[in-house]
Amino acid sequence: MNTNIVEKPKKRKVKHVQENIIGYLFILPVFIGIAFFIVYPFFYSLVSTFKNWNGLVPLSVAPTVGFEMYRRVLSDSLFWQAFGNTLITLIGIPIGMILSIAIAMLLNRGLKFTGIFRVIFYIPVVSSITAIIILWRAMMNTQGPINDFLALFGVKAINFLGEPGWARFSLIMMLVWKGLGTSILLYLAGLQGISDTYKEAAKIDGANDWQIFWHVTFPLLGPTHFFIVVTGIIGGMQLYVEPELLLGGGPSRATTTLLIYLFERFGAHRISEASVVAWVLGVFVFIITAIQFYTNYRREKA
Amino acid sequence: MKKSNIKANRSIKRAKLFSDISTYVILVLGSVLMLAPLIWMLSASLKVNQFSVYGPLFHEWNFSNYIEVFKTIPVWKGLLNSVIVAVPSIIVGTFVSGLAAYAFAKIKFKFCNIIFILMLAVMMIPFPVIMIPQYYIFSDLDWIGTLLPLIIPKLFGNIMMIFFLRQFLTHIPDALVESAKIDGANHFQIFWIIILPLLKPALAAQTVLWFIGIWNDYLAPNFFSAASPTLPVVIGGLVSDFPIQEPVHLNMAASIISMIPVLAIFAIFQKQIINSFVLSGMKE
Repeated sequence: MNTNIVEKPKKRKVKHVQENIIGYLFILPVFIGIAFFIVYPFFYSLVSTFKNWNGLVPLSVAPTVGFEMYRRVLSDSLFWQAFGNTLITLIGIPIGMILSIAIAMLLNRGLKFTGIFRVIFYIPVVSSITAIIILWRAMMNTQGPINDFLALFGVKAINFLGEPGWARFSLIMMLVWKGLGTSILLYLAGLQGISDTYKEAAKIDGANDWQIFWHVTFPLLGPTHFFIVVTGIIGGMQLYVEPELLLGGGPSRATTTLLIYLFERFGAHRISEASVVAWVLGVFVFIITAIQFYTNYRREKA
Repeated sequence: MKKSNIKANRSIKRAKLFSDISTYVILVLGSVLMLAPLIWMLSASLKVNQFSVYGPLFHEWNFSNYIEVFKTIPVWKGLLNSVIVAVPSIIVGTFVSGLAAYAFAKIKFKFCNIIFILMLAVMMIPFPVIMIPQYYIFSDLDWIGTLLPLIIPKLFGNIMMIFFLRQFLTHIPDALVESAKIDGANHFQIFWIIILPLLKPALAAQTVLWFIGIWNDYLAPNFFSAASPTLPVVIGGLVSDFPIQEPVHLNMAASIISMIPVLAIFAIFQKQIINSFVLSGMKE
C-alpha cells in the first residue's frame, strides 16, 4: 500500500520531465534564433554605445567613453533636425485614420460589391515599396500627371520633390495612400465587433447619426485607434526607404529622417554614434508604447 | 394618418436610396484615387520612350519594353535572388514556428508562459537597434554581400507567426491532443498528423503575409546583401540623381514585373488575408 502511494507520483514526475524536455526541444530552434540574432546583437549594440567604436577594430579594443557618444549625438543639431523631420511625417497617422474610418463606415453598411472595394483599397499595401517609390517619383515630376491634373484647374506646375514643404507633403501623401488599406481593414474589423444594441439605445434616446458616431461608435473603436496609433508611431519613427529613395533625404535635408541620419553616421564609420541614434529611437518608441498601454489600460478599467 | 405613414415610409426609402447611391459614389471615387497611380504606371510602362511617358494615357502599346527590361536591368538576377531568399526561409521558418506554437499552446512545460511573454517582449526591439551589430556578426561570418543574412535568421522562425498560430491553436480542444496521446502518438506525430492539417487556414494567411513582407523588403537586403540584389534592391537602384535621364518607361515595366508575383498571390489568397484582419481585430 505504502509503495503504491510513493510510486504513482514518481511515474507522473517522469512523464512531467518528459513533457518538459519535448516542450523545450520544440521551441529550441526559435530560442537559438532569438538568442543569436536578436538578444546577442541587442547587448552588443548597448555596449557599443558606451565606446568610441569605428567598426574597423574589434569592439573590445575600442576605448570606453561612458556617455560621451550620447552627449555627442544629443548635442548635434542635425540629429534634432532629423528627429523633427521624423515627427512631422507622423502627421500621416491621423490623416490616414480619419480617411480610413470614413471608408470603413461606408464599407460596413453591408451594401453589395463592398468586397471588391476592400480588395482595391488593399492593393497598394501589398505592392512593392520600391516600385511604388519609382512610380511616385515619376508622377510627382514637374511635368508628371499630377501637375497635368492640377493644370486643368489652372494651377501652375508645382515642384513637389524639389521644394522642402512640398517634398514633405508628397512623402506623407504617399505613406497615407500606401497604408490606407491596412487601417481600413482594422477599422472594419473593429466596427463589426460593435454590437448594434448600443447604437439602437442611443437612437431611442434621440441621438442623431453624428452624435451616435461621435459618442458611441468612435469611443468603442478605442482598441483599434490604439493599435493603429502605436503601430503607426513604431513604423513611422523607423521611416527610411521612402524618404531615402523618393527624395534622398532632401531637399535641404527636409526629409532626412532618424534612420537616414543613422546610416550617415554608419557610413562615416561613427558606429557608436549610429548605435546611440538607434537606442534613442528605441527608447522613444518604448515610452510612447508604454504611455499608450497605460492610458488604454486605465480606460478599460474605468 | 395612413397616408402620412406611407409618405413617411417613402421618404425613408428615398433617404436610404440617396445614401446608398452616395456611398457608392464615394467608394468608386476613392477606388479611382487608389488605383489611378497604378493605372498610370501600366500606361507609362507601354510608352515608346521616356519622352512620351508624360503624354496621354494608353496612347502607345509598346509591349517590347517588357522584353527590353530583362536585357537592360538585372531583373532576372533580382527575381532569382528574391526566390532564393523567400522560398527556403518560408518553408523551414513556417515549420519551425508551427512547432513552437504547438509547444506553447498544447505542451504543458515548465515556464512556458514566462518564455512566451519574454519572446513577445523581444518583438518590441526595433530593427535599427540590432541591425548594426548584426552587420558585424554577418561580416565576421563572411556573409555580407551574400544572401545568407536574409535566409539564415528566418530559418529559426517568426515570432509574429508563432503568436498568431498559438492563438489559433488555443481554440482547438486539448481533448484532441490527449486522446491521440492515449492512442500512443508522440507529440511530433500529433503535430504532424493532426495539428498541421488543422492549422492550414491560419498557416495560409500567415505564410502569405510573411512572404509579401519578405518579397517587398528593402532595408535588410540593401544593408546586408546589396552585392546579391533582391528584386526591390534592383528596382531601388533605378533611382538616379538625374531624373530627367531616367528611362521612366523601362523603370515602370521593371517595377510592374517586380509587383506581379505578390499581386498574383494576393489575388489568390485575398480572402484569407482580409479575413485574418477580422480575426485579429476580434481578439484585440
